[in-house]
Amino acid sequence: MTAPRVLVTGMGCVSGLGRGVAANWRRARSSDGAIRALASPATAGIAAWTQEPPGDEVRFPGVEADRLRRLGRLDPLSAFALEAAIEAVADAGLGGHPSLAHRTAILVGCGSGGNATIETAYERLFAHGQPKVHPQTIPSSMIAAPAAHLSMLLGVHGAAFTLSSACASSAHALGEAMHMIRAGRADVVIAGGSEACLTLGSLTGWRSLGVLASDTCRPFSRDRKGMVLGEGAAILVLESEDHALARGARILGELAGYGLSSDAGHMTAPDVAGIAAAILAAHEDAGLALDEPILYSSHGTGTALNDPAETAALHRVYGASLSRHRVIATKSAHGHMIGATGAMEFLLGLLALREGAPPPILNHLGPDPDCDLPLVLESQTFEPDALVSASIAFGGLNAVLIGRRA
Amino acid sequence: MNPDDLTALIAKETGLPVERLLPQATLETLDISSIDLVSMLFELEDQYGIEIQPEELTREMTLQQLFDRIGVASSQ
Repeated sequence: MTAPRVLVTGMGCVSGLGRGVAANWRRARSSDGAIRALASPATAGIAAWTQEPPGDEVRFPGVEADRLRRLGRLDPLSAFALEAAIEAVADAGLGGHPSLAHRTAILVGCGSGGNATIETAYERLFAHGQPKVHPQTIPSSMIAAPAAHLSMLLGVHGAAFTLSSACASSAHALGEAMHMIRAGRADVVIAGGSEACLTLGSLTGWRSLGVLASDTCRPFSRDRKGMVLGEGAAILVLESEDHALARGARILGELAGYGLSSDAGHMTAPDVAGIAAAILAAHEDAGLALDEPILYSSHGTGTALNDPAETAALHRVYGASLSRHRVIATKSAHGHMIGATGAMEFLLGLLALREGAPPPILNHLGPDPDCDLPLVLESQTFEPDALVSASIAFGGLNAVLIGRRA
Repeated sequence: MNPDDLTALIAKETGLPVERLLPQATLETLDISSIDLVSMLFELEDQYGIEIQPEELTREMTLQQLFDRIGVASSQ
């Protein structure tokens, strides 16, 4: 028996670019990036931060207040995930569908838990010497909270859990979700990622690591200075072809392949062989020839180490065919959304396939000989059938997804 | 602490609209979960220094009785 094709039938997201897929796509496509100075004096610096959310009835449309209150205190990590998932499930036309209860799974990628909740508790203990913290500190901040909150809100009784692999978390989540459907374990998987890391403690940790740029994010550019953090969530509804066709679902694209590798080498330095292995595995899984033109959505963080390593891996994998491909780096628009970033980039990449319009890389100052790639630096028409979306995470955890046009 | 402060605190911690927080309503009829109750008592102690142990409260207790226990006259 051949494994079922896995289709994308719904999408939702929130990021510094805005709330909802339409707003995010409009800004990404028109080179209107979200990186700007942080508003709070306590967290100086730059990031792609989200605006203050609207009221619950706007943010979580169709969700009765009584259902929402049963979820308890929501860290922004869960609130982002709920917002994106509600949009995705509505987009898929799955609201109230009988399959949600027992033939659906939830798989959320998160790099860290509820930073704001944890830091508030620690501030009480360590800064103010208070003996107690809020009773919901643990359930609100646990890294599994977004998966649990989604299952409660959507009435999903099947598998629901959080997966964590640093900056590849949501790419791994989508890939593993694809395999759940291929294996017949679920007909539908609500999968993606969420991250809420723009807190003083988290930001300071990243800054201390020395990887944050002070100016902006300039992937594959000369004089690039590092990455810029973002926040938010991106959630997709994945569905077996039979299930989608039987209910007449609108098809947005296909998740056709997934390759992964672990460098088993270094916590923070990327490895060319490891990246290349993941890309090759994804092509093999999807049955996608290396010389077929692709839109490559890079990890493209803008750090000194990532961009040349990723470039070398692309030359190693594609060789002379590389010139047929085009490379985008949407972190220059929505920042590095850590656990959510792989899903966000796959989502934007699929939209770029659909529209034949890859979003340009922002803030590029000029070529770096170590990053010699067919970069998309201005608006253009490019209409390949396949997307290759790469996530190259700390810990040497690599995941590559292949999307196809519907 | 005045009655409106207490009502606002309960509304915030339970997610219930203020108009449902009537004096004769019980914790049970309001369907206030144990975790929301503990959260409410935490904020009460944290913001107003009023310490009440969770075991002092029962599901049958009305908001009026809760207000009485805290020593705040009900606003309604």
